[in-house]
Parts: sequence; structure tokens; C-alpha cells
Amino acid sequence: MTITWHNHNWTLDGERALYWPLRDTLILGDLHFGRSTHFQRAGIALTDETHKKDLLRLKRLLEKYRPSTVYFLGDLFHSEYNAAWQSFSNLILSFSPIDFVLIQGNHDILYRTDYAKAGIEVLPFIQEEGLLFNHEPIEDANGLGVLCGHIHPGIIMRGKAKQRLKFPCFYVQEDQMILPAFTLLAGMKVLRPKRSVRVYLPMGENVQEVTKN
Amino acid sequence: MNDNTKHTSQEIQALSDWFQSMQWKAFPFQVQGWQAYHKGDNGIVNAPTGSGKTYSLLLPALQQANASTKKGVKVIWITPIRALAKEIKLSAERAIQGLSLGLSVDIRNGDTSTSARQKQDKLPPDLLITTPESLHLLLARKGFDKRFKGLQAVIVDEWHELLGSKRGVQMELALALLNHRIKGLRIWGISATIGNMETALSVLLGDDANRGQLIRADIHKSIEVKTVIPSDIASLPLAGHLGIHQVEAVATIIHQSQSTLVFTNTRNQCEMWYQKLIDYDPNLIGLIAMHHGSLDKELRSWVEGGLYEGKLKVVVCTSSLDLGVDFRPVESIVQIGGPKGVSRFMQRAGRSGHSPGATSKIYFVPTHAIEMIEGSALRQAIAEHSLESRLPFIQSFDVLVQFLVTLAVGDGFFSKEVYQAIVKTHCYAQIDEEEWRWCLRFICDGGGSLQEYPDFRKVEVDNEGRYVVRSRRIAMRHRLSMGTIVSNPVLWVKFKGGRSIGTVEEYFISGIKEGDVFWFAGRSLQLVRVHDNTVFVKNTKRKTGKTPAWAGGRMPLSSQMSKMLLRKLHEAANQDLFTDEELIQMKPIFDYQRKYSMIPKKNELLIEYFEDREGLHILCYPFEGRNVHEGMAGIIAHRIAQIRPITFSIGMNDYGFELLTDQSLDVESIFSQELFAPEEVHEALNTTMNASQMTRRQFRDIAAIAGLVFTGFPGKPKKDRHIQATSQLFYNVFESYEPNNLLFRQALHEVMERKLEEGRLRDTLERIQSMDICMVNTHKPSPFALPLLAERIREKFSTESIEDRIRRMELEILKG
Repeated sequence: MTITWHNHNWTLDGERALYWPLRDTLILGDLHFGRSTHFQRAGIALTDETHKKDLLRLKRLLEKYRPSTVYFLGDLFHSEYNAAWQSFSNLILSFSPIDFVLIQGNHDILYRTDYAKAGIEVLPFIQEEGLLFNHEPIEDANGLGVLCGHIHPGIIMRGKAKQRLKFPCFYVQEDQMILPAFTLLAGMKVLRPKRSVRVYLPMGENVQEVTKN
Repeated sequence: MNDNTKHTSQEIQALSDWFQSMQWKAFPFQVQGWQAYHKGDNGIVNAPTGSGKTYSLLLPALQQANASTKKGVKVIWITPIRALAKEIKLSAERAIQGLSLGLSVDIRNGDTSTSARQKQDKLPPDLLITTPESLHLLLARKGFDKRFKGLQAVIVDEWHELLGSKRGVQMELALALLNHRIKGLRIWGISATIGNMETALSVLLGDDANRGQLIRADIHKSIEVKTVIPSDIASLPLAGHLGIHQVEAVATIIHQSQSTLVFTNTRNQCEMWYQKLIDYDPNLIGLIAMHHGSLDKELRSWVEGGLYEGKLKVVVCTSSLDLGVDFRPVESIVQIGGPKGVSRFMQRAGRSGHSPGATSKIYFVPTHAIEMIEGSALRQAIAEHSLESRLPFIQSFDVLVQFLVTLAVGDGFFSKEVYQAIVKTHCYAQIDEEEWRWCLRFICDGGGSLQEYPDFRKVEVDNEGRYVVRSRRIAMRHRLSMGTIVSNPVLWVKFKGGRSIGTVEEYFISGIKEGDVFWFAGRSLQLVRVHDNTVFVKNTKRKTGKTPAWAGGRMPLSSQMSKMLLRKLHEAANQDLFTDEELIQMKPIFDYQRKYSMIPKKNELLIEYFEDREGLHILCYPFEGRNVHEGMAGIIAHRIAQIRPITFSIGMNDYGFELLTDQSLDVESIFSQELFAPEEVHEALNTTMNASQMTRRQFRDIAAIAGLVFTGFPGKPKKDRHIQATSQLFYNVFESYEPNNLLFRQALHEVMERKLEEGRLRDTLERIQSMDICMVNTHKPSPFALPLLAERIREKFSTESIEDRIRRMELEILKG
């Protein structure tokens, strides 16, 4: 689905990704790789299918868009160095012509050299084309359009017959677009949007707009 | 007359003489017990509390112990409730003195100090009063032969309480081992009457059951059931479960009685009623107290003491006062809301009018109008003495692996010997050699998918082939985590000064913030802060606030109650048949029900439906308890979904279930016997999502008992989240990589058998096959439907694509 926001065209992808045609850039919210392997501390290292699935989804997106640049909007790797990072950086390196940029988030605690080895540039934020790419939301950025992650936005859909469903979403306000967490593993924060907020649900294959008019 | 019988008759004469000197009269069942015991029999004495059941077995056991010249413990008396131990000890000491025996008595349980235990180890008492858990702890220590060489008998008190639980399995294992190793060991149980006494006997004695005696006291107490019906029947709401509107009637009963016990069904309801009674009549302050399982132990024993001494006029309580607490009989018993089981109700009624021949009186307070019918069903069930059965566990591998590690921590064990012992139990009679080998592998290296992890290498095999635990750390952790009661993880509520009030569940506290006020233990408390596992609070005068709820509150309607309910409905359907006060009073409600719908006769299954703003409501009333309804609703939803993709919201109570959908359905053509076919029930239950969610919850307990997850050191329990997370992780691993894992299979089995009552569900479906299905379009909710529509806990079921569902839904937005 393609939308216009802050004078730019954006392609919303059902796999919880955002593509920016002008700069041929793929933008991804919180990935939280390595989170599942946290359980190692409990003495139980178990291969986690969801972790593998996240890697595969990333690979497919890179093949689909073949972007020249990828922005990770923070919280890329949710841990200290471990085996999961190795499998992630191997994937990144195999797409080496692509420039990977990490906008640092609160969970990104690896050493600079680890990022460098994987060919990932780390920046606190990026400002370009009237836009500001940041990890956390910024309410007032002097008219810049803020693109961010961090909060894992979700919404509730209600229907007749006591039906109620929760979904992650793209949460598009006038001056701020919050991306859904990329990982399938993390929970979400349920928001109750104002009428003016545009809400898009990534459904895998496609994206569905559910904005209330 | 040979020597032996002569000896026996001398012993019995001694007992009779002592009874005479105390001016007591021995009941026939007591004399039968003495004779059977001295003859060398095993068995069960079936007698109610307060009937002199203790002396039916304790006395001959003491006599026999007195004749022994061996050292060490002679008789082990198991009591499931610690609070009863002191009373047994006093009874024993009185008998020892009265019969001039030279015997010693001591208690060993969780309250026994380390120094007292050490003293016992050096100089064991002749009679040891203990719990199943403490007995297992003795097995987890070295020196079995020395400790038990003089043992003559094990007597299990309150066996009916243990029977349907894993503590019962624990008891079976200990008995099997002791019986296997000690020649001529006597095994006896004492049990109140339950629906399956024969099973109780065969579980207690295992393979030897056919040689066991069942001695029945046959003491029946007359019970009068009085349903509290408001003078204006219309003032009873048609739905709801708290029953607060009846506070005036209950207060009147309290005032007219010297002392009253008010039983509620949940801890939350207990707190509410205490609050409302004080609000209604502030004069009760100082004379009223509350008793439930989440209150601090000291607080509870203060209440128990107050009851014992007759200082309290009224105590609002839950099942926590059902047993194990000794106090003077109270004058009136009040039961708020349907007790759901006949046995429980009779036990509660028995708290009043203790003197022989006296009638126990119990007031039943219905919380909504339809519930009145339960009063008349209860009276009928009592008249027919139709009591519930207790379903013993079978193939509990979690308890077995715990037991094996226990033995390995103690003297160690040989596989062959223990196998021979445990296959004689009722629980493990079906275990095959492959399963046994799996259990041994499991304790040695975790078996299957856990082999990589050193944490699960607990037991080793030594040169002689003996299974032993060498690591002191593993042994210590095991001793700390033994037992089969997996408590819900809780937070301690304390005053800032440190005085403890009780416990609440984590999720309740997560819903309130610092400074918020909540009502607990009969006080308004303000949350100061939460630190580790403790919630610090202070008293406040502010009155508003939430009342905590605790999980695992509600019991489903028992099948005995179901049968009676259906009979009473049948009487109501044939208007001229009924004579019960409740049914007569319910006439306006029955008329109303008849006007909009109908009252089903015993060969009819009623299905109502109507459409409103919410969608299409389909209501079905099998009256088989919420567990069966949950399973049945899932199956019906699943079968309708075979016809077309559909989404349901499912509600259930003890009378029926509701399927609610936003799609339109031709109810009359879809609902037929075929939809209720009893075939492939197991498969259908497995595919409905409820089964797997329940299994996950069930697995948490199994994982803890089997020692897969460590629940923390005493007083420093781990947070629920961690236990939950790790047990979930194991569940996922077993589900994907090791579906034959016995613990995983056990969880499935327990859910099917206990949570979904698969057997009862299948019976119900079969019954429906020969019934008339009556469908009524009621256009609006009938009186039967209202309590069901008010159920807030609902299950979801859908076979539609998410996209299709979203199309009919709306985004929830910020109002205003």
C-alpha cells in the first residue's frame, strides 16, 4: 500500500516494513534480535523458531526491495554478544552492497566494533528531506516528519458479538509515523488513537487501513 | 479358643473397660475396628468427623505397639492437615495413660523445629504423627532400615481428602514401598463417606485391596435445609453471583443465633460479604471475623481460637474452614450461593448441632432467582445420600519421578525392587517397562530433548547398579522442592512495620498503583510500595477501592447435583408435581420462562436463540456443570465451523452455554442430534484452542512437581513470570520435539480427564442422542438466559480469516 505523508510517498509492507522510494531505502522498526536467547541465562539454550522466522522475513524483504539503504530504527539487537548476532551479521554481510544504518536505541549495547564488523553504521539520528529518523518518538520536531519505533504500537478492533482483536500497527499522526516492531516475538503497547490518526495494519501479505472516519 | 484369639479378646476387654471407666459407650464400628486390627487385617474405617473414629484404630495400634520389643517408630499416623496433629497427640496421650501403656508420641511436620527433629532421630517416638510430605522427607534421608525396622502400621486419617489429589498418589507410593520392605505391615485408612468407598479402599491398599475390610459406621445425621427466599421474590435479581442483596436476611439469621458461620464460594466473595455485613450492621464490629486461605496464618489461627472459645458471633469464611479446624459447633450455618457439591454442603451443615441425634440446620442463600432450585436439589440429594466420588489420579509420572529422586537422595535404590513395589499401587498398575525406563532416564539426564543440559543430570548409577544422588546441591534443592501442592505464586501483604496480613496474586497488584486503596482482610489498605515479593501497605480511612480476586475460585456443579437439578426441573415442567417450597416460590419465574420459552422435561434438551444489537445468541442448557459446557460449546462451535467459516464468543455457567456470533445462522436447521454426536469427542476437544491453553496451565504444576522448574527457596519464591516462562519453554520444546514425553502427555491427560471431564461430557452427549431437541426463538433473553449472558469470562472461537473479521470491526478510538 502506498501513502503520501510529509510530501513523500511511502510503501507500507505487510511484513511490518516501510519502503521510501525517493531514497530507495527500507526502514524497519524494533527487531530485538537475540531476545529469545536471553533464556540461556536460565541454563536453557533452545533453538527458537520465531527467531529463525524473523531472520527469514528480513531476508525476503531485502530480496524483494533490493534497496540501496536500510535504516534500522533502533533496538536491533536485544542482548550482549551471542550466537544469534553471528547468524544475523552473516545475513547482513551477504547483502553487502546495501548500506545498513542503525539508529541507536536503548537496547543496543554491543561494542562499536561488533557493528563495524557487520558493516553497520551507527548514528544517534538522521535528519534529511524534512524528515527525522529517530528511535523514540518526538512530539514536536519543528515541523520535521518524525519516523520512529520504540513503543511497539498496537490497537484494538472491536466488533459485534463481543469480538475484540489486538493488532500491531503503523501509527501515522500528522508529524509522526510510529512503525510496528519488526519482530514477531515482542508484545505491543495498545494505543487508543484520536480520530485524526491514520492506522494501518500489517497483515503479512498486505496492509489494511482501519482509520476511523 | 487358640492363644491368638484369646489374646485379642483380652485386649478388647481392656479397651472396653477403659471406655467404661471414662463413661463412654463404644460404637459398634469402633469395636469392629479393634477386632479387625487385632486380627491383622488391613482396611478402611468409614466414619464421619466427631464420631470417635480416631479411637477405632488408634487404640489397638497402641496396644500392639506396646507389645513390641523393637526400637524405633511402631506406628505412623498420617494426617493431611497439620492443625489436626495436636488433637491426635492429645487423644493418644490420654489413651496411653488410661491404658497404662509405656509409649511415647511425637509430631513431625513442617512446623517441627530442627532441634526437635534431631531429638526424634536419636530417640524415635513409638507413635509418629506426620503428613505425607514429612513422611517423604524421611524417605529422602539415609538409614531406612534403622528408622523403619520396628514399624508395625501406617494409619492414614482423612483419606477421602487425599484420595482425589496428588498427595494421595504420594501416599500410595510411600505405602507401597513400606509394605514391600516390611513384612506384615498393617495399612489402615479413615475416611468420611464418599460416592466411591470401594475405590478408596483399593487405592489405599493397592494390590492387596481384596484382603481389606471396609468398616462402616453408618452414622447418619439429619440435616435440615432452609432456603432463604425474600418475601418479594421479584427483588431477587435474575443474574449475579455475589448475593449481596440478601444481606438483610443473613443479618437477621446472625442476630437470632448464638453463633453463625457464613460460607462463601470464593475468597473475593468472602471479603465482599464481610464488608457488606459490617456496613449493614456496624454493631457487629468486634464480633465478626473473616477466614480464608489467603489470610496470614496467625490471623487465621486467631479466628479459629475465637471460634473455639466461643468469643466470635459470626465468621465469614470459605472452604478454608471446611475441615481440619476444631471448634465448638455453631448454632447456624449459612451457605451463600450454590455449593455445587452435595458432600461439601453436608460437611458444612455438620458444623452445627454436633450432639448425637441433633439436627444440623443450614440456610442456603441463593444469589439469583434460578439458583433457588439448587436448594431443593440439595435437599433431595441429602435425602438420597447421593454423594460425590473422588477420582484418584492414575499414571502421575510427575509424582513418580519426584519419588525416585527422593529415594536416590536417601539410601539410593535398585530399579527392580522399586518397580516391583510401585506396580502394586492403583496409580501405577498400568505402567509398562518402557515408561518405567523413561522415568529412570529422566532422573538421570532429563531424557530426550533435555540431555544436553547438566541441570537435569540429577541421579547416577553406582558400581552396584544402585541409583543415587551424589551432589549435595542437587540433594538440597530436591528436599526443598518436594511435595505436590504447587501454590499459586503470591505477593505478601505487610504493614510497613513488618506485620504480615496475607497474600494476593501478582496480577491483582499489577493493576493498582502506589497510593491506591484496596480492600483486603476486612480493612481499607493503601499501597505504599512493592518490593521484591512484598506489598507494603498502611491503614487508611478512605473506603473506595478494589477487592482482590484469587484464581481457582469456582468449582463446577457435580454430576450428583446435575441429576437432582434435572429432576427438579422436570417436576417444575409438570406443574402439578412439585411440593418443594423453593419450586412453589419460583412459580412467577417459571411462568415467565414458560411464557417466553419453555421448561425442559427430563427427555428434552432446550435450545433458545434470539437476535439483538450484539448479534445472534444461541443458548443451550444441558445442566452439566461449567467444565462439561466449556468442552461441549467448543465441540459444537467446531462442528458448525465445518459448515462455514464463523466466529463465536462463548460463555458458560453451570446450567448451560452461549454461542454468540455476528453472523446469521439458520439455528433450526443446524441444531440436531448430529451436532451433539458423541463420536470423535477427544479429537474435537484437542483441536479447539481451549484444550491447548489449559494444558499449558496444567503443565506448569507438573513441571514443578517433576523438578523441571525450581520454584525457589522457602520465603524467597521466584516470581511467577519466571516459573511460567520456563515451564512454557519446556512445554514448547516437548510439543515440537518430544511429543511422547510422559510429562507432556500427562498434562494432556489431566486436562481431558479433570478440567474438561471428557468422560462426563461423552456421557452427556450420549444422553442427548435419545432426547428431544427443543428449539425456541425467544426474541429476548429468558430467565434461564440472563445469568448466562452476564458471565464475563468468555472464550473465543473463530475459523474466519482475520481480514474478513476486520472488515466487520471498528477501531477503538479515544473518546471525546
